[in-house]
Amino acid sequence: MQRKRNGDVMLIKEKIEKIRKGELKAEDNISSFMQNIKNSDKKINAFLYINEKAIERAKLIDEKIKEKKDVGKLAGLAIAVKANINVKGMPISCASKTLEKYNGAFDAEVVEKIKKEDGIIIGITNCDEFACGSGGIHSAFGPTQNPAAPGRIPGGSSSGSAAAVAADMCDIALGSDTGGSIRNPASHCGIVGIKPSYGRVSRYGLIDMAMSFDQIGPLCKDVYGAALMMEVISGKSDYDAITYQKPVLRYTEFKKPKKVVIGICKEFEKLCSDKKILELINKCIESIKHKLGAPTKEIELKYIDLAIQTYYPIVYVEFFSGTRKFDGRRYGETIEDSCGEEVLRRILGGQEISKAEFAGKYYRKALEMKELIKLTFKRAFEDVDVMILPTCPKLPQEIGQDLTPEEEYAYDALTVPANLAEICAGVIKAGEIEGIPVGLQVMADSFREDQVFNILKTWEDISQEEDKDASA
Amino acid sequence: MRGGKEIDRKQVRAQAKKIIDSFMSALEKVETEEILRYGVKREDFLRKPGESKYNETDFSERMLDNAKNKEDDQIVAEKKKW
Repeated sequence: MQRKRNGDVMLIKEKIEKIRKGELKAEDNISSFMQNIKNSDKKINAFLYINEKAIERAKLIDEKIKEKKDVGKLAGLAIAVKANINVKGMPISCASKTLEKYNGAFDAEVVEKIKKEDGIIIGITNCDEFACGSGGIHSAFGPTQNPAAPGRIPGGSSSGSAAAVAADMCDIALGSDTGGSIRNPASHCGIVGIKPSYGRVSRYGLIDMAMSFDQIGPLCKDVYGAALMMEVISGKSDYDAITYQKPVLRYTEFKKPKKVVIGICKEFEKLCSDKKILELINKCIESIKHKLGAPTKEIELKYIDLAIQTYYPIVYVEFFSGTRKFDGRRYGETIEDSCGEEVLRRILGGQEISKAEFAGKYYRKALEMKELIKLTFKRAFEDVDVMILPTCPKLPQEIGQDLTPEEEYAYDALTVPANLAEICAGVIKAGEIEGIPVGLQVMADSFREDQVFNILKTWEDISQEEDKDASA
Repeated sequence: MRGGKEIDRKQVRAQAKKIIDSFMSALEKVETEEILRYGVKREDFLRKPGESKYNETDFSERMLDNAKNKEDDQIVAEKKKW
């Protein structure tokens, strides 16, 4: 963590410039994060593995800069990676006893791209076991604490990635989002998180949770850092058949469109059980509207109230199918004998559906429903450019408070629709309620990440202006 | 075993089944026929021997020859391990 003289954490854009100019050594950047991890991570439990070779890598980058050689877009930045994304030679356990002794045999395509741009992998982060969970409490290696709301869950499943960013233990982290696993912890930890469109980022090397929804995306303290990481990891891949040949825009330019129409959906409001959250988000929408001169339009999204019921049967089946490789014969332990309760529930549920799937009664029906929801969004995006809504329907619970599976699944009610519709979405801190961060969520049509970044950046600018006014 | 707690597999399975049933009964109320634009929808999902378009009549025989365990004309897969 590098701080400015006034104690503020240095923004990513400024830090990159300083490293490139030699005003800040990459080695110092990494060392300072390492020190912070050493001091705080026993309490936070964000990391499962620390890459001790990161400093050596930083020294090489400093050498390149000294010799005036070209360096990549992420030169000298500390990047943390969720424990379900393969990094060569590092333990990729998916926070499970099943893969406790499994070491990544190759780099996931996103990791390869980060290394090519001189990003430094600082470590592997904790998460809900096999990304199954929305609280960060289902890891076999203990829950992660929320650095922004001590004693409360950080959100999940990318809990360690979000906590590592929030606690100043890295510059940017990678997470995976199947039903809100990047956005939910970003909201609870008060940071920025991006769920890319389905097919925007290669999943080669990601240990899958549900193939119809999984996407890898960034978490960062500022919008620029998240946008920069998206520029690096996006694009068509020969190794992931669902990626598209669509141009990757320069998200970091934050090009303002001539006109933005903001969609407001009453159905989302009904799903938000904490009305204080709704009030806060509505205030943000008013400020954004005012700043951009953007009109709002009320839209109807039918079947959104059935998003959770559509999502989970698909997840159960695809997760069950995906975990058949963890049979204890080739590597790891037999999953059913070594996993936690939530993972087992999804496996057994998927098994039940697979056994009963004679004429498409379950899985096919859920896929049909997914298609219907996708069409509903497609029609809505003919009238509006973005939708703004809350991220989570309630504040994060205290660690140790028991929830039924249905209650935990309901946490995803406002994030799952984007996965079903295959669109992109991003989260940024809207403000606080009772001292706990609350995230604002922006959704845009498939491959319109630029629209998401524009709204996030607009809100970031508004917040910074408000902070300046408050401290003046 | 997780966090010193033994997992009751029967209970977890019953809970999962209850969740699925409740979710599916909510979805059943929505008409979704013909919406899916990919995948193959079959009215008959079982094929009788000899009905394959390749008409490889000895296919079952070859498969049965490969099988580790068989009963009459059926392969016995791993029991209770799936």
